[in-house]
Amino acid sequence: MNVTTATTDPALVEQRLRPLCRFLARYASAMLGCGATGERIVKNIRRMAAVADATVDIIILPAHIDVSVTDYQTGCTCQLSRPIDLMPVSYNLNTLLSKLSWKVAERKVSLEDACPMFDRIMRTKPLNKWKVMGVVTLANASFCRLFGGDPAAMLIVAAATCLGYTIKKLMLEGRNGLLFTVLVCAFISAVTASGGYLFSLTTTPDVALGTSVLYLIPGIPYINSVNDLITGHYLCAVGRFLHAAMITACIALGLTATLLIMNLGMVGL
Amino acid sequence: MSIIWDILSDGFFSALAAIGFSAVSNPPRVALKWCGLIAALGHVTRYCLMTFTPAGIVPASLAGALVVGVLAVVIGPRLKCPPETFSYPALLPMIPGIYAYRSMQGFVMALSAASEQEFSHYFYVCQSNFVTCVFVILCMVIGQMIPALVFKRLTYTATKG
Amino acid sequence: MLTARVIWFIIVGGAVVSVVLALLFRGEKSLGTRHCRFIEMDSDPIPIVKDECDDCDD
Repeated sequence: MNVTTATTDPALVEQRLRPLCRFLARYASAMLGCGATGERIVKNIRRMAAVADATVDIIILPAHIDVSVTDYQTGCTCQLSRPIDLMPVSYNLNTLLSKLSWKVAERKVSLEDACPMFDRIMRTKPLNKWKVMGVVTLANASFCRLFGGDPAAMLIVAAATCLGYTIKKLMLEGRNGLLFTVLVCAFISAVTASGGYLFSLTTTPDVALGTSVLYLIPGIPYINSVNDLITGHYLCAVGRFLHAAMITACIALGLTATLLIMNLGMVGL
Repeated sequence: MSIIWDILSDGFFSALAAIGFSAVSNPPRVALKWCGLIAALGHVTRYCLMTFTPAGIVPASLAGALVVGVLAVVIGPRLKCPPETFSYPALLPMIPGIYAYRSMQGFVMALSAASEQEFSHYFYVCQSNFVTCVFVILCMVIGQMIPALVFKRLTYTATKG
Repeated sequence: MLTARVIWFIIVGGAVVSVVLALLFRGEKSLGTRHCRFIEMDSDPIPIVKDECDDCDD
Protein backbone atom coordinates (compact mmCIF):
# COMPACT_ATOMS: atom_id res chain seq x y z
CA MET A 1 0.00 0.00 0.00
CA ASN A 2 1.45 3.40 -0.99
CA VAL A 3 1.19 5.99 1.70
CA THR A 4 1.90 9.43 0.24
CA THR A 5 0.94 11.61 3.18
CA ALA A 6 2.27 9.65 6.14
CA THR A 7 1.93 11.37 9.46
CA THR A 8 3.73 10.36 12.59
CA ASP A 9 1.94 10.03 15.85
CA PRO A 10 4.48 8.83 18.41
CA ALA A 11 1.84 7.66 20.83
CA LEU A 12 0.11 5.52 18.20
CA VAL A 13 3.40 4.06 16.98
CA GLU A 14 4.50 3.18 20.51
CA GLN A 15 1.18 1.76 21.60
CA ARG A 16 0.16 -0.38 18.69
CA LEU A 17 2.59 -0.70 15.86
CA ARG A 18 5.90 -1.45 17.59
CA PRO A 19 4.73 -4.57 19.50
CA LEU A 20 2.90 -5.74 16.37
CA CYS A 21 5.98 -5.16 14.22
CA ARG A 22 8.19 -6.95 16.74
CA PHE A 23 5.83 -9.94 16.89
CA LEU A 24 5.51 -10.16 13.10
CA ALA A 25 9.29 -9.95 12.71
CA ARG A 26 9.79 -12.78 15.21
CA TYR A 27 7.07 -14.79 13.49
CA ALA A 28 8.51 -14.27 10.01
CA SER A 29 12.02 -15.06 11.22
CA ALA A 30 10.83 -18.30 12.83
CA MET A 31 8.86 -19.31 9.71
CA LEU A 32 11.93 -18.74 7.55
CA GLY A 33 14.12 -20.66 9.98
CA CYS A 34 11.80 -23.66 9.99
CA GLY A 35 11.77 -23.86 6.18
CA ALA A 36 8.53 -22.21 5.06
CA THR A 37 8.32 -20.79 1.56
CA GLY A 38 8.47 -17.02 1.06
CA GLU A 39 4.92 -16.89 -0.28
CA ARG A 40 3.46 -18.66 2.75
CA ILE A 41 5.26 -16.32 5.15
CA VAL A 42 3.98 -13.22 3.35
CA LYS A 43 0.40 -14.48 3.31
CA ASN A 44 0.50 -15.49 6.99
CA ILE A 45 1.82 -12.18 8.31
CA ARG A 46 -0.43 -10.07 6.08
CA ARG A 47 -3.41 -12.05 7.35
CA MET A 48 -2.46 -11.22 10.94
CA ALA A 49 -1.61 -7.58 10.25
CA ALA A 50 -5.02 -7.05 8.62
CA VAL A 51 -6.67 -7.81 11.96
CA ALA A 52 -4.90 -4.75 13.40
CA ASP A 53 -5.96 -2.56 10.46
CA ALA A 54 -2.42 -2.51 9.18
CA THR A 55 -0.48 -3.74 6.22
CA VAL A 56 2.92 -5.34 6.30
CA ASP A 57 5.73 -5.61 3.77
CA ILE A 58 8.77 -7.80 4.21
CA ILE A 59 12.15 -7.99 2.54
CA ILE A 60 13.69 -11.44 2.87
CA LEU A 61 17.47 -11.20 2.83
CA PRO A 62 19.81 -14.20 3.03
CA ALA A 63 20.53 -13.77 6.75
CA HIS A 64 18.03 -11.11 7.83
CA ILE A 65 14.44 -10.11 7.48
CA ASP A 66 13.13 -6.58 7.25
CA VAL A 67 9.52 -6.02 8.34
CA SER A 68 7.61 -2.80 7.78
CA VAL A 69 4.12 -2.31 9.29
CA THR A 70 1.92 0.57 8.13
CA ASP A 71 -1.31 1.65 9.78
CA TYR A 72 -4.18 1.96 7.27
CA GLN A 73 -5.80 5.01 8.75
CA THR A 74 -2.95 7.28 9.80
CA GLY A 75 -0.16 5.96 7.56
CA CYS A 76 2.19 5.61 10.54
CA THR A 77 4.98 3.18 9.82
CA CYS A 78 7.17 1.02 12.00
CA GLN A 79 10.14 -0.87 10.59
CA LEU A 80 12.26 -3.60 12.16
CA SER A 81 15.18 -5.76 11.04
CA ARG A 82 15.83 -9.14 12.57
CA PRO A 83 18.26 -11.97 11.86
CA ILE A 84 16.70 -15.19 10.59
CA ASP A 85 16.45 -17.83 13.31
CA LEU A 86 18.93 -20.63 12.70
CA MET A 87 17.10 -23.89 13.32
CA PRO A 88 16.57 -27.23 11.61
CA VAL A 89 13.71 -27.52 9.10
CA SER A 90 10.52 -28.29 10.99
CA TYR A 91 7.21 -28.79 9.23
CA ASN A 92 5.58 -29.22 12.61
CA LEU A 93 6.46 -25.63 13.52
CA ASN A 94 5.46 -24.52 10.02
CA THR A 95 2.02 -26.12 10.49
CA LEU A 96 1.48 -24.80 14.01
CA LEU A 97 2.56 -21.26 13.10
CA SER A 98 0.31 -21.27 10.01
CA LYS A 99 -2.61 -22.42 12.16
CA LEU A 100 -1.83 -19.60 14.60
CA SER A 101 -2.08 -17.05 11.79
CA TRP A 102 -5.53 -18.37 10.86
CA LYS A 103 -6.70 -18.29 14.49
CA VAL A 104 -5.62 -14.65 14.68
CA ALA A 105 -7.22 -13.81 11.32
CA GLU A 106 -10.51 -15.42 12.36
CA ARG A 107 -10.29 -13.52 15.69
CA LYS A 108 -10.34 -16.74 17.74
CA VAL A 109 -7.08 -15.51 19.26
CA SER A 110 -6.26 -11.85 19.87
CA LEU A 111 -2.94 -10.38 18.80
CA GLU A 112 -2.04 -9.90 22.48
CA ASP A 113 -2.58 -13.61 23.15
CA ALA A 114 -0.79 -14.62 19.95
CA CYS A 115 2.63 -13.71 21.37
CA PRO A 116 2.63 -16.17 24.32
CA MET A 117 1.02 -18.77 22.06
CA PHE A 118 3.88 -18.24 19.60
CA ASP A 119 6.39 -18.81 22.42
CA ARG A 120 4.66 -22.06 23.38
CA ILE A 121 4.75 -23.24 19.79
CA MET A 122 8.48 -22.46 19.52
CA ARG A 123 9.11 -24.59 22.64
CA THR A 124 7.45 -27.65 21.08
CA LYS A 125 9.60 -30.74 21.52
CA PRO A 126 10.99 -32.22 18.28
CA LEU A 127 10.89 -35.95 17.48
CA ASN A 128 13.21 -38.14 19.55
CA LYS A 129 16.62 -37.81 17.88
CA TRP A 130 17.58 -41.46 18.31
CA LYS A 131 14.34 -42.62 16.72
CA VAL A 132 15.02 -40.17 13.89
CA MET A 133 18.52 -41.67 13.51
CA GLY A 134 17.02 -45.14 13.22
CA VAL A 135 14.55 -44.04 10.59
CA VAL A 136 17.19 -42.10 8.62
CA THR A 137 19.44 -45.17 8.64
CA LEU A 138 16.58 -47.24 7.19
CA ALA A 139 15.81 -44.50 4.68
CA ASN A 140 19.37 -44.29 3.36
CA ALA A 141 19.56 -48.08 3.10
CA SER A 142 16.31 -47.92 1.10
CA PHE A 143 17.92 -45.32 -1.17
CA CYS A 144 20.72 -47.78 -1.80
CA ARG A 145 18.17 -50.41 -2.78
CA LEU A 146 16.38 -47.95 -5.08
CA PHE A 147 19.65 -47.24 -6.89
CA GLY A 148 20.27 -50.93 -7.45
CA GLY A 149 22.35 -51.93 -4.44
CA ASP A 150 22.38 -55.48 -3.16
CA PRO A 151 21.51 -56.38 0.48
CA ALA A 152 25.18 -56.27 1.51
CA ALA A 153 25.48 -52.76 0.10
CA MET A 154 22.35 -51.79 2.02
CA LEU A 155 23.93 -53.01 5.28
CA ILE A 156 27.14 -51.10 4.55
CA VAL A 157 25.15 -47.93 3.83
CA ALA A 158 23.13 -48.43 7.02
CA ALA A 159 26.33 -48.68 9.08
CA ALA A 160 27.88 -45.66 7.35
CA THR A 161 24.71 -43.60 7.86
CA CYS A 162 24.38 -44.59 11.51
CA LEU A 163 27.96 -43.56 12.26
CA GLY A 164 27.83 -40.38 10.19
CA TYR A 165 24.47 -39.22 11.58
CA THR A 166 25.60 -39.79 15.18
CA ILE A 167 28.76 -37.76 14.54
CA LYS A 168 26.65 -35.03 12.94
CA LYS A 169 24.37 -34.83 15.99
CA LEU A 170 27.30 -34.75 18.41
CA MET A 171 29.24 -32.14 16.43
CA LEU A 172 26.23 -29.84 16.03
CA GLU A 173 25.47 -30.15 19.76
CA GLY A 174 29.09 -29.17 20.37
CA ARG A 175 28.46 -25.95 18.43
CA ASN A 176 30.73 -26.86 15.54
CA GLY A 177 30.04 -25.05 12.27
CA LEU A 178 27.51 -26.71 9.97
CA LEU A 179 29.78 -26.78 6.91
CA PHE A 180 32.72 -28.31 8.80
CA THR A 181 30.35 -30.85 10.38
CA VAL A 182 28.95 -31.86 6.99
CA LEU A 183 32.47 -32.20 5.57
CA VAL A 184 33.58 -34.47 8.42
CA CYS A 185 30.40 -36.58 8.34
CA ALA A 186 30.57 -37.02 4.57
CA PHE A 187 34.19 -38.11 4.86
CA ILE A 188 33.51 -40.59 7.69
CA SER A 189 30.43 -42.05 6.00
CA ALA A 190 32.19 -42.40 2.67
CA VAL A 191 35.25 -44.00 4.25
CA THR A 192 33.01 -46.48 6.09
CA ALA A 193 31.19 -47.31 2.86
CA SER A 194 34.46 -47.72 0.98
CA GLY A 195 34.85 -50.92 2.99
CA GLY A 196 32.65 -52.45 0.30
CA TYR A 197 35.49 -51.96 -2.18
CA LEU A 198 38.36 -52.79 0.16
CA PHE A 199 36.98 -55.99 1.65
CA SER A 200 34.90 -57.08 -1.39
CA LEU A 201 31.78 -57.26 0.75
CA THR A 202 29.31 -56.39 -2.01
CA THR A 203 28.81 -56.71 -5.75
CA THR A 204 27.68 -53.06 -5.97
CA PRO A 205 30.34 -51.12 -4.01
CA ASP A 206 29.92 -48.01 -6.16
CA VAL A 207 26.22 -47.76 -5.24
CA ALA A 208 27.08 -48.20 -1.56
CA LEU A 209 29.71 -45.45 -1.72
CA GLY A 210 27.50 -43.08 -3.68
CA THR A 211 24.45 -43.45 -1.44
CA SER A 212 26.32 -43.43 1.88
CA VAL A 213 26.36 -39.62 1.96
CA LEU A 214 22.87 -38.95 0.58
CA TYR A 215 21.41 -38.41 4.07
CA LEU A 216 23.40 -35.16 4.18
CA ILE A 217 22.00 -33.73 0.93
CA PRO A 218 19.90 -30.60 1.70
CA GLY A 219 17.00 -31.56 -0.54
CA ILE A 220 14.38 -29.37 1.15
CA PRO A 221 16.31 -26.06 0.78
CA TYR A 222 16.86 -26.81 -2.94
CA ILE A 223 13.15 -27.43 -3.46
CA ASN A 224 12.28 -24.34 -1.42
CA SER A 225 14.63 -22.19 -3.48
CA VAL A 226 12.97 -23.21 -6.75
CA ASN A 227 9.56 -22.54 -5.20
CA ASP A 228 10.71 -19.07 -4.11
CA LEU A 229 12.13 -18.44 -7.58
CA ILE A 230 8.80 -19.21 -9.23
CA THR A 231 6.81 -17.10 -6.75
CA GLY A 232 9.11 -14.09 -7.20
CA HIS A 233 11.12 -14.11 -3.95
CA TYR A 234 14.42 -14.02 -5.82
CA LEU A 235 16.72 -12.97 -2.98
CA CYS A 236 15.30 -15.65 -0.73
CA ALA A 237 15.67 -18.21 -3.53
CA VAL A 238 19.31 -17.30 -4.17
CA GLY A 239 20.11 -17.28 -0.44
CA ARG A 240 18.61 -20.71 0.09
CA PHE A 241 20.20 -22.11 -3.06
CA LEU A 242 23.67 -20.88 -2.10
CA HIS A 243 23.31 -22.25 1.43
CA ALA A 244 22.31 -25.65 0.01
CA ALA A 245 25.07 -25.46 -2.62
CA MET A 246 27.69 -24.82 0.07
CA ILE A 247 26.53 -27.90 1.98
CA THR A 248 26.58 -29.95 -1.23
CA ALA A 249 30.10 -28.73 -1.99
CA CYS A 250 31.23 -29.90 1.47
CA ILE A 251 29.65 -33.30 0.82
CA ALA A 252 31.44 -33.50 -2.52
CA LEU A 253 34.72 -32.52 -0.86
CA GLY A 254 34.33 -35.22 1.77
CA LEU A 255 33.54 -37.79 -0.90
CA THR A 256 36.45 -36.66 -3.07
CA ALA A 257 38.84 -36.85 -0.11
CA THR A 258 37.72 -40.42 0.47
CA LEU A 259 38.23 -41.37 -3.18
CA LEU A 260 41.71 -39.87 -3.18
CA ILE A 261 42.86 -41.19 0.22
CA MET A 262 41.47 -44.66 -0.37
CA ASN A 263 42.81 -44.57 -3.93
CA LEU A 264 39.59 -45.97 -5.29
CA GLY A 265 39.25 -46.60 -9.01
CA MET A 266 36.29 -45.05 -10.81
CA VAL A 267 34.05 -47.88 -11.91
CA GLY A 268 31.92 -47.65 -14.99
CA LEU A 269 33.08 -44.32 -16.40
CA MET B 1 4.32 -61.66 -11.25
CA SER B 2 7.90 -60.41 -11.00
CA ILE B 3 6.74 -57.11 -12.52
CA ILE B 4 4.21 -56.67 -9.73
CA TRP B 5 6.86 -57.60 -7.17
CA ASP B 6 9.26 -55.05 -8.68
CA ILE B 7 6.61 -52.34 -8.57
CA LEU B 8 5.63 -53.15 -5.01
CA SER B 9 9.21 -53.26 -3.77
CA ASP B 10 9.95 -49.96 -5.55
CA GLY B 11 6.99 -48.39 -3.80
CA PHE B 12 7.89 -49.90 -0.44
CA PHE B 13 11.49 -48.74 -0.43
CA SER B 14 10.65 -45.26 -1.69
CA ALA B 15 8.02 -44.98 1.06
CA LEU B 16 10.63 -46.00 3.62
CA ALA B 17 13.10 -43.47 2.23
CA ALA B 18 10.50 -40.69 2.26
CA ILE B 19 9.43 -41.44 5.84
CA GLY B 20 13.04 -41.41 6.96
CA PHE B 21 13.92 -38.12 5.34
CA SER B 22 10.61 -36.64 6.35
CA ALA B 23 11.45 -37.48 9.98
CA VAL B 24 14.55 -35.29 9.71
CA SER B 25 12.27 -32.33 8.86
CA ASN B 26 10.18 -32.78 12.04
CA PRO B 27 6.78 -33.16 10.41
CA PRO B 28 3.52 -33.35 12.38
CA ARG B 29 3.30 -36.98 13.50
CA VAL B 30 0.12 -37.58 11.57
CA ALA B 31 1.90 -36.65 8.33
CA LEU B 32 4.61 -39.32 8.43
CA LYS B 33 2.62 -42.21 7.00
CA TRP B 34 1.02 -40.00 4.34
CA CYS B 35 4.49 -38.84 3.24
CA GLY B 36 5.40 -42.47 2.68
CA LEU B 37 2.22 -43.24 0.75
CA ILE B 38 2.53 -40.19 -1.51
CA ALA B 39 6.20 -40.92 -2.15
CA ALA B 40 5.40 -44.53 -3.02
CA LEU B 41 2.72 -43.55 -5.52
CA GLY B 42 4.90 -40.90 -7.15
CA HIS B 43 7.93 -43.15 -7.39
CA VAL B 44 5.89 -46.07 -8.74
CA THR B 45 4.44 -43.74 -11.40
CA ARG B 46 7.96 -42.78 -12.47
CA TYR B 47 9.13 -46.39 -12.38
CA CYS B 48 6.22 -47.61 -14.51
CA LEU B 49 6.67 -44.84 -17.08
CA MET B 50 10.39 -45.54 -17.37
CA THR B 51 9.92 -49.32 -17.55
CA PHE B 52 6.82 -49.72 -19.70
CA THR B 53 6.93 -46.64 -21.93
CA PRO B 54 9.68 -44.96 -23.97
CA ALA B 55 9.63 -42.01 -21.55
CA GLY B 56 13.05 -40.98 -20.26
CA ILE B 57 13.92 -40.04 -16.70
CA VAL B 58 13.06 -36.33 -17.16
CA PRO B 59 9.42 -36.66 -18.34
CA ALA B 60 8.87 -39.63 -16.03
CA SER B 61 10.10 -37.59 -13.05
CA LEU B 62 7.80 -34.74 -14.07
CA ALA B 63 4.84 -37.10 -14.15
CA GLY B 64 5.76 -38.64 -10.79
CA ALA B 65 6.14 -35.20 -9.24
CA LEU B 66 2.72 -34.17 -10.64
CA VAL B 67 1.16 -37.16 -8.88
CA VAL B 68 2.95 -36.16 -5.65
CA GLY B 69 1.79 -32.55 -6.00
CA VAL B 70 -1.85 -33.46 -6.63
CA LEU B 71 -2.00 -35.88 -3.71
CA ALA B 72 -0.31 -33.36 -1.38
CA VAL B 73 -2.82 -30.63 -2.29
CA VAL B 74 -5.72 -33.05 -1.71
CA ILE B 75 -4.47 -34.51 1.57
CA GLY B 76 -3.01 -31.33 3.10
CA PRO B 77 -6.28 -29.55 3.87
CA ARG B 78 -7.81 -32.75 5.26
CA LEU B 79 -5.01 -33.05 7.82
CA LYS B 80 -4.71 -29.29 8.27
CA CYS B 81 -1.07 -29.27 7.19
CA PRO B 82 0.62 -27.26 4.44
CA PRO B 83 0.87 -29.46 1.31
CA GLU B 84 4.65 -29.01 1.19
CA THR B 85 4.81 -31.04 4.44
CA PHE B 86 4.01 -34.10 2.30
CA SER B 87 5.25 -33.16 -1.14
CA TYR B 88 8.81 -32.05 -0.37
CA PRO B 89 9.89 -35.18 1.54
CA ALA B 90 8.01 -37.33 -0.99
CA LEU B 91 10.18 -35.89 -3.77
CA LEU B 92 13.43 -36.81 -2.06
CA PRO B 93 13.47 -40.50 -3.13
CA MET B 94 13.18 -39.32 -6.75
CA ILE B 95 16.29 -37.15 -6.60
CA PRO B 96 18.78 -38.71 -9.05
CA GLY B 97 21.68 -39.09 -6.69
CA ILE B 98 23.56 -41.46 -8.96
CA TYR B 99 23.76 -38.83 -11.71
CA ALA B 100 25.16 -36.31 -9.24
CA TYR B 101 27.65 -38.88 -7.99
CA ARG B 102 28.81 -39.82 -11.51
CA SER B 103 29.07 -36.13 -12.35
CA MET B 104 31.39 -35.63 -9.41
CA GLN B 105 33.36 -38.75 -10.24
CA GLY B 106 33.85 -37.48 -13.79
CA PHE B 107 35.01 -34.09 -12.51
CA VAL B 108 37.59 -35.67 -10.17
CA MET B 109 38.86 -37.95 -12.93
CA ALA B 110 39.04 -35.03 -15.38
CA LEU B 111 41.27 -33.16 -12.92
CA SER B 112 43.75 -36.03 -12.89
CA ALA B 113 43.50 -36.83 -16.62
CA ALA B 114 46.80 -37.45 -18.38
CA SER B 115 45.79 -36.53 -21.93
CA GLU B 116 43.37 -34.21 -23.73
CA GLN B 117 41.30 -37.15 -24.95
CA GLU B 118 40.96 -38.55 -21.45
CA PHE B 119 40.10 -35.09 -20.08
CA SER B 120 37.44 -34.58 -22.77
CA HIS B 121 35.88 -37.97 -22.05
CA TYR B 122 35.67 -37.43 -18.28
CA PHE B 123 34.51 -33.83 -18.67
CA TYR B 124 31.76 -35.05 -21.02
CA VAL B 125 30.73 -37.59 -18.37
CA CYS B 126 30.70 -34.82 -15.75
CA GLN B 127 28.68 -32.40 -17.90
CA SER B 128 26.13 -34.89 -19.22
CA ASN B 129 25.36 -36.34 -15.80
CA PHE B 130 25.21 -32.87 -14.24
CA VAL B 131 22.80 -31.53 -16.86
CA THR B 132 20.56 -34.60 -16.51
CA CYS B 133 20.58 -34.28 -12.73
CA VAL B 134 19.73 -30.56 -12.79
CA PHE B 135 16.90 -31.00 -15.31
CA VAL B 136 15.42 -33.92 -13.42
CA ILE B 137 15.41 -31.92 -10.18
CA LEU B 138 13.95 -28.85 -11.90
CA CYS B 139 11.19 -30.88 -13.53
CA MET B 140 10.40 -32.61 -10.25
CA VAL B 141 10.04 -29.34 -8.37
CA ILE B 142 8.01 -27.71 -11.12
CA GLY B 143 5.85 -30.82 -11.39
CA GLN B 144 4.94 -30.76 -7.71
CA MET B 145 4.39 -26.99 -7.82
CA ILE B 146 1.90 -27.02 -10.70
CA PRO B 147 -1.01 -28.39 -8.62
CA ALA B 148 -0.07 -26.03 -5.77
CA LEU B 149 -0.24 -23.04 -8.12
CA VAL B 150 -3.42 -24.20 -9.88
CA PHE B 151 -5.16 -24.80 -6.55
CA LYS B 152 -3.51 -21.83 -4.85
CA ARG B 153 -6.42 -21.13 -2.54
CA LEU B 154 -6.47 -24.72 -1.31
CA THR B 155 -2.70 -24.62 -0.78
CA TYR B 156 -2.67 -21.51 1.38
CA THR B 157 -5.85 -22.20 3.36
CA ALA B 158 -4.86 -25.77 4.25
CA THR B 159 -4.19 -24.91 7.90
CA LYS B 160 -7.38 -22.91 8.36
CA GLY B 161 -9.15 -24.37 11.41
CA MET C 1 45.20 -52.41 -0.93
CA LEU C 2 46.80 -53.25 2.44
CA THR C 3 47.66 -49.61 3.06
CA ALA C 4 44.10 -48.59 2.17
CA ARG C 5 42.72 -51.20 4.58
CA VAL C 6 44.98 -49.94 7.37
CA ILE C 7 43.89 -46.38 6.73
CA TRP C 8 40.25 -47.57 6.71
CA PHE C 9 40.63 -49.22 10.11
CA ILE C 10 42.35 -46.16 11.56
CA ILE C 11 39.70 -43.72 10.34
CA VAL C 12 36.61 -45.81 11.04
CA GLY C 13 37.98 -47.15 14.32
CA GLY C 14 38.90 -43.66 15.42
CA ALA C 15 35.44 -42.37 14.53
CA VAL C 16 33.68 -45.17 16.43
CA VAL C 17 35.89 -44.68 19.51
CA SER C 18 35.32 -40.90 19.42
CA VAL C 19 31.56 -41.37 19.17
CA VAL C 20 31.49 -43.83 22.06
CA LEU C 21 33.63 -41.57 24.25
CA ALA C 22 31.56 -38.52 23.34
CA LEU C 23 28.31 -40.31 24.19
CA LEU C 24 29.69 -41.56 27.51
CA PHE C 25 31.19 -38.26 28.64
CA ARG C 26 28.91 -35.58 27.18
CA GLY C 27 26.91 -35.26 30.42
CA GLU C 28 23.49 -33.70 30.82
CA LYS C 29 22.68 -31.41 27.98
CA SER C 30 20.60 -28.38 28.85
CA LEU C 31 17.35 -28.60 26.99
CA GLY C 32 17.03 -24.85 27.07
CA THR C 33 13.41 -23.96 26.72
CA ARG C 34 12.45 -27.11 24.77
CA HIS C 35 10.68 -28.89 27.59
CA CYS C 36 7.04 -28.65 26.63
CA ARG C 37 5.09 -31.56 25.26
CA PHE C 38 3.92 -31.72 21.70
CA ILE C 39 1.09 -29.22 21.19
CA GLU C 40 -1.97 -29.95 19.12
CA MET C 41 -3.26 -26.57 17.98
CA ASP C 42 -6.80 -27.75 17.38
CA SER C 43 -7.19 -29.03 20.93
CA ASP C 44 -5.97 -25.76 22.39
CA PRO C 45 -8.99 -23.46 22.13
CA ILE C 46 -8.00 -20.39 24.08
CA PRO C 47 -4.41 -19.88 25.22
CA ILE C 48 -3.78 -19.14 28.84
CA VAL C 49 -1.53 -16.16 29.25
CA LYS C 50 0.69 -17.29 32.12
CA ASP C 51 3.68 -14.97 31.95
CA GLU C 52 4.53 -11.76 30.25
CA CYS C 53 6.33 -12.31 26.99
CA ASP C 54 9.78 -10.76 27.52
CA ASP C 55 10.30 -9.87 23.89
CA CYS C 56 6.88 -8.30 23.51
CA ASP C 57 7.38 -5.85 26.37
CA ASP C 58 8.67 -2.44 25.43
